[in-house]
This record gives sequence, C-alpha cells and structure tokens, in this order.
Amino acid sequence: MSAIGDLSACEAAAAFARGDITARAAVDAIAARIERFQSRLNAYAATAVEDARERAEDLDRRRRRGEALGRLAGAVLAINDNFATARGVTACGSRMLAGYHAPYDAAAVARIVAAGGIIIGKTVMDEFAAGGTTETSAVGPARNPWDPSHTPGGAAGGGACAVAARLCHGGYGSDTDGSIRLPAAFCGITGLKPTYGRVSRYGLAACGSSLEQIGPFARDARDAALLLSAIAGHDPRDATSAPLPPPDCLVPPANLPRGLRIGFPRAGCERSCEPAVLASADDACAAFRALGARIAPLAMPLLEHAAACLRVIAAAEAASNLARLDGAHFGHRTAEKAPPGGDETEFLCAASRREGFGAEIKRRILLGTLVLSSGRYESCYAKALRVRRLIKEELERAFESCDLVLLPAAPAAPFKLGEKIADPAALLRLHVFTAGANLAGVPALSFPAGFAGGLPLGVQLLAPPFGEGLLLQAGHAFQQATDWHLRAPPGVAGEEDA
Amino acid sequence: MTLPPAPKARLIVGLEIHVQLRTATKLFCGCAVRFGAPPNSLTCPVCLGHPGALPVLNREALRCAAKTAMALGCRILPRTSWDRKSYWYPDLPKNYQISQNEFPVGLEGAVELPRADGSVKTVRIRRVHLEEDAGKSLHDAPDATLVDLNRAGTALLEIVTAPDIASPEEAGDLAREIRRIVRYLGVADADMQKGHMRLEPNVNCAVELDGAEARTPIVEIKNLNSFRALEAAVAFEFERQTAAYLADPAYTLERRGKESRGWDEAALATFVQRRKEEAHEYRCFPDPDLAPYEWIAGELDELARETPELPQARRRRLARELGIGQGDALLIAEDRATGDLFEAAVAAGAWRESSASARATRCSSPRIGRRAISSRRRWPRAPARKPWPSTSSTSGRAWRRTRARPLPA
Repeated sequence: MSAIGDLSACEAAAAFARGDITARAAVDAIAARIERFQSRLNAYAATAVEDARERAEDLDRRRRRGEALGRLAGAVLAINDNFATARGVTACGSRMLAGYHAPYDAAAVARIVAAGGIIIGKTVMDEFAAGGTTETSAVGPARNPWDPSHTPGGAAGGGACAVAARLCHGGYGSDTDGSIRLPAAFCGITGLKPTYGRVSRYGLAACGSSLEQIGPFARDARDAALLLSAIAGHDPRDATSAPLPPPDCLVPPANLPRGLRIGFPRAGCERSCEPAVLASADDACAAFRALGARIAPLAMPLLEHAAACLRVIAAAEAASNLARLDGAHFGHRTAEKAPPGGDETEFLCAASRREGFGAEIKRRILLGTLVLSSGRYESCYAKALRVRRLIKEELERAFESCDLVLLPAAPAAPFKLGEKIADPAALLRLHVFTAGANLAGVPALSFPAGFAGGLPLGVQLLAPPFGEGLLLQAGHAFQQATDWHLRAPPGVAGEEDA
Repeated sequence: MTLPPAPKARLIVGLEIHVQLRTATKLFCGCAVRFGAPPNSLTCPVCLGHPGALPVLNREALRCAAKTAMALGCRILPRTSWDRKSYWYPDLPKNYQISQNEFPVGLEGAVELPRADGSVKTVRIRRVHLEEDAGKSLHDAPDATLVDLNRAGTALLEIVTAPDIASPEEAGDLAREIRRIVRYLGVADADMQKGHMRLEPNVNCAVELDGAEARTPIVEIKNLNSFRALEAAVAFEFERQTAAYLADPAYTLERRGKESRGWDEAALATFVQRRKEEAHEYRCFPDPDLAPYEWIAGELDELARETPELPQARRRRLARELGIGQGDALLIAEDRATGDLFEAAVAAGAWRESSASARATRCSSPRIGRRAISSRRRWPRAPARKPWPSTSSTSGRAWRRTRARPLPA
C-alpha cells in the first residue's frame, strides 16, 4: 500500500472504513508532510493540526464502537482561507481580516465535518480572490510543487498546491473566475467548479457573489465526485442555492455515454493561447475521440470578452461586499490617531483601509465603485450585464448541438512568480477560458492533459447547468485512458511515513 | 401710493412614510423582532453583517407589504426584486442597505382622505417598497456612541406619495389614515412612541410674485416621529421658505436643488443637515444574493381575500347604511375594534333604540371628540421670528467615535 499521505481521498476513506488505517495516523502522516514542505511551498495560510488530531481520535473511537461514519471519514482535507470557521481566523488572504474570528461555520464546512472529513488547515489564496497567482495574498505566494519558482495559479492556489504535493487528501476552494480550475491546471490536479447554486455559499466570505461557487480540489475525477457529494445540495440559508438533491456521481462510470458530443471552439482557443496549450487540448480531443466521443467544431466569438466582462461585475460585487471592512464595523483598525480637527470616523475608515487592503484589491474596489456610480452605471455595469447574458446565450446555443464543451483551462503553462504581476492585462488574460463558466453559472471540470517543460497543462470540460454527473463521468473515463493525473511532482510522492 | 401686491404662496408636500412591519422575525434572517430587549441580543451573523452570511427573504414581510400596497390601490408588480443601496452609517453593519429600487412591491396607488366639508381629497401613492431597517446609535455614553443592532434588519415598509398634499393638516391626515390602514390590515402596530412609524415630508412652495411663479428648493425633513411634529414642521417650512424666497429671489429649486433638514422639537424649527451630502451616490445595484420574487398564481388573490374592509370603505358604508356623518364615521372607524364594537351594538339593536340627536351627542362625547377636532385644527403657527439655527451649532451627526463593534453577544 502507498504511504498514507499519498492516498487519494477515496482511498483514504476506504482504508479507514476497512480499518486499514486510523484517522489519527492519517492526520499524523499529513501533518509530517506539511511540516516538511510548508516552508518550501507555502500552501497553508494556517494549520489546525491539534484540532485535526482530536477530531481524528474521536473518529477512531466512534469507528471502534461501530458507529456509521460519513463518506469522508478518514480523509484529511484543506479548505480555502475564505471559508468561515468558528475556530481560527478567516482571513481571506488579507491583512484586513488577519484578526477576524467568524462566529459561525460555513455551510460547506459543517457538511464536510458532518461527512467525517478532517480539516487540517486553510490554504493560501489571493487577497479576496483578486488574482490568478497567489501573489496578491498577504501571506503569499504559494508555490508550484512542480517548480517552486513558479506560480501554482490562483486565486485558490494554496489548495491546488496542497493537493498536488500530497499535503492533504483533498481540498476545497472557491471559484469566481477560475480560482479552482486555473490552479488545478497549473498544479496538475483535478478541480471542479459546480453549477451556481449547487453548493451553499453560506459562510463563504463573499467577493463576487453572483459568480462564485465552492468546489473540490482533487487528485482525480473520482475524488472530485466524492468531495462534491459531501457538500452539494440545497441549503435554506442561501437563497441562491438550488432546491435539488446532490448529483448522483459518487463513483462515476468508467466509460463515456454512447454518442457523446464534445464541442471544441478550436479557432477561438488558438487566438488566445500558447501552442503547447492548444496541442494538449488537441490531444485531449483525440483521447476523447478514441473513447467514442464525437468532437464537433464550435464557434464561440464572445469567449474572448468573458474575462473583461467578468472583471467589471466581480469588481462591482466585491466593492459592495467589502464595504463593511472599514475598521469601524469589521476588519483591521488603524492605530493612528486622527489629526486634530479632522473627521475622526472618516480618518479611521480611510487609514484602516489603506493599511488593511493590498494594492490589487484596492484597484478592484475602486473599479467596482466607479462602475456602479451613477455616471458609469449604464456604460459599464449595465453593459457588462448585457454582455454576460450574451455569453450565457452563446453557451446555451453550444449546448444545443453538444453535450459538453472542451476548452483549455489556462492560456499558458505555469509561469515564474513575479513574471506577470506587474502586467494587469496579462493577468486578466489568464482567465480567458475560465470566466465564461462563472458568467453562465455552468459547471466546469479542469483536469491534467499534458506537460510543457516539465510543468502541467490542463483542459476543462463545461456542461449545461447541473451536469456535474456527466462532467465527472467524462473526466473519469479520460483518466482511465490517460495517466497525466497519476504523475506526482518531483520529490513529493512515495515518501515513507514518519 | 399703492402697496405692492401681496405674494401668493402655495404649499407642495410629498410624504415618505416608513412603517415597521409587525413580523415575528426580521426581513432577511430568523432573529426575533422585539422592542426593549437587551442591546444586541436579537442578532445573528446575517443581521450583524458578518462576511459570508447571506440574506433569505421573509415571505411574511413580503405578504404584509403587498397587502398594504393593495390597500393603497397600488398595482402589484408581478416580479419584485432587491437592490443594494450603499451608504456609510455606524448602525448599518454591511455598509449597504437591502432595499427595492427598480421593481418595488407596488406602484401608482391612491389614498382618499375625508375632509371636514364632506368632500374627499385624493393623494396619489407613487410606490410601496420593502427594505431592512438599520440599528440604533445610542449617544448616552460619555465618550463614545454605542450601537444596538436589535433593530438592524427588521422589515420596513416605505410608502412614497406624490406631492399632492397642500397643507400641514392634510399631511397629518394622510399619515393618520396610513396608520389606520396598516392597523386595520394588522401588518403593523404603528406605535409612534416606539418609532414604528417615521415620517419624512418633502416640502417646497410655489410663490407667485408679480405674476410669475417660482418654486422654492425641495426640503426633506428627516425622521419625524409624531403627527404633531409633521404638521408643525411642514407649517414651519412653508413660512420659512416663503420668507426666504421673498428675501432672496435666488432661493429657488433651480438654483439650490434639494436639501435635508432636521426638526428641532424644542425650538419648533427645522435646521440644516448634511448639506455636503446633498449629491448622494447610493450606487444601487441588484442584490446578487436574492433572486427576484415572482408572485405565484392565486397568491395575490388570497391576500386580497384576507384583506378586511378598510377605514374609508367602512366610513362610506356607515354613512350610506346608517346615515352617520363624516366626523362621527371618522371616530367610529378609527380602529377596527371600535368599529366592530359599534357595528355589533347596531346589529344587537342599539341603533333602533336611540334617537338621531342622542346619537350625535354620544358620538361627540368630549373624550374622543378631542381627537376628531385635533385632526381638523388650524395650521399650527410656527414660532416664526426665531433666527434660523446655524449649521455649526446643529450638526446632525453628533456622534464622535464608534466604539461598539457588531460582535456576537
């Protein structure tokens, strides 16, 4: 058997259920690996090893008593730094919330715990998810386990890094504009953004409310199915959550449905991505064809506007959601005193925000404030909403002739930290292929599909709303026929447990 | 020598009325609504505005709002939606208020007010919408303002009239009639003492001088919490604005736009408030956390069926069926219980046994008669010769520093 730390979430849960491993041993193995790799990879913003040990021992006791435990029991998991937890800090990658203790657990956290999952820490993310590299994080950047001088992608890059480096059995992130799928591709793992409304957002510190969804970081599509099944389903506390049961995809079938049609807008992709990325997408198409799928050409001319359109909407929502972080109501409070005669409250808010927020999130808040102002609402915000509708309609048309749509996950291979951080246009282009699914609210699965220069490349499949079952089935079938997802970053797999 | 022609001035008033609905729980969370509970005891992550907490609509509040809108003759929009209205206030935890901008519950209604001479005055209703209330800032601590968020997130109904009100007493009559209506419907207690009903008149004047008519700036008088204050403040503004225009012909709507003033209960005068914020930028946009609500077939019919006979209809019926005069009908129909008692007595035969003159005497008994008179009294005279309070001495924002943070109790 592999080392406990090397197990996938499915394997860990199965081994625990059989009694082959104890939860305590699983936590100890993962904790030892975190200890060993954290300084090199900076995957975690905070760990809770002692809490995890206590919880593991409780699970072990309950299993010995023969209690029925949840489907995640035995799996050691990581969550993004923007999931509210009643214990510990919920910092969202920001200095602003470095001291913020939420008074409650997010719905997803409660469901992970109820399913027997052991949460061992919170992973590094770009500040309030504003970024694609983890470089805007107050405690970042996280590093790419395939080459620590490279970015793991973002925003939820720490989670992808942790799963790829076997610093947990699986993880959860939130995806606003590709924040799960982009780092999943960069780190060579499988990441799923569920349909908007599939997973409760209650307790996910909101940034782009109409766009973001919580989803799994996983070693493969099977793990993604397991991790999703634990958190999906209606939640009366989230008015945007769909009144549907979770998808029935716990163990996806290994074959593709007969006559599956996959649309691939190759010409549009070619314009927006590196040749190596396009080649891996072509290879993925060939693999799906070999599995019996029909690859259909597709024109999606609006695709290239998705990232810019999303940026306007996300900025507006972020500006509104983050308004409460002013040092008076919530968030970091300045120690500076107002100059005599000035407006003390105005000074308090301005100074607290100046100190608490990083440069990128400040830009987004300013952009959001601008596009919602009466002078710009029509020409910017309302226009972005119209473009969003057109992009959604374009995808709906694609799904009239195809069952799934295939796109690269990122336009480029992972790049060096620092390489693009000063180039906002290049950073925006990172989201060119991922933004569409968020705008349309449809599910999308990103999975490994090749390498360029020793660094992973990913492709993604998009499905119509609530088509997670089909997505995971297609991903699983692909992974039965390929071995990209089985490769581990150099120097992290196969370590003996302490 | 001839005297210059006397200026003729006409008062123009529109009213915004906030009514706290009598729902068991708040508008977007399950916290209880109760007056006088220990500070911050009726709160949760949602109404405290914690990051990640999400609002869920209280359908009962929406039903109350729709009932009221229907009672005010409004058209109910088939699809009603929620907007975020951004502004900063210490007792507004999220720094935005969930309100309704584009698609309110109801539009374009009307209220009929009986006049003393037996005629009817119609005031058009522009819109009826729901919004969440803010908390309360308490200024009694020596060095800080404390915030109590028990009220934060309670359901407020906002009723906006067209500028059809032409006198202070009409303003008062309209507010009183709205209170009667919401009480008849059972949707609100509308207890003025508890701040359940807050009144904000928008006042200006059309002044005719030398054959030309000018409009004075529209003044919004904030947060009045009694009918007496409403009538006095409107009357005061009428005199103040007329005098201001006669003293300075540039004191016009075109030149000065709108302004907010507060009401000083002790001085019986309005004072300048928040001038620098005249150009408010609320940055309204649809709240992404709340889907628009679409009325289900039959739902509105059901609400209409639940709606009792309203005060004006009852007054008309009393006049028609029993020949009761306007003033007496106003008294009898003042609240549902009194009206029901009266009608039960009539049904039991009381009407036949008493003579018409005796009826009149009884109905105008001094104890309740006073209220009838007060609603028809002369315009209250404002203490006119007082100088206007200066801006600096009456800053509306007396609080200094927010010490209380919205933390769980």
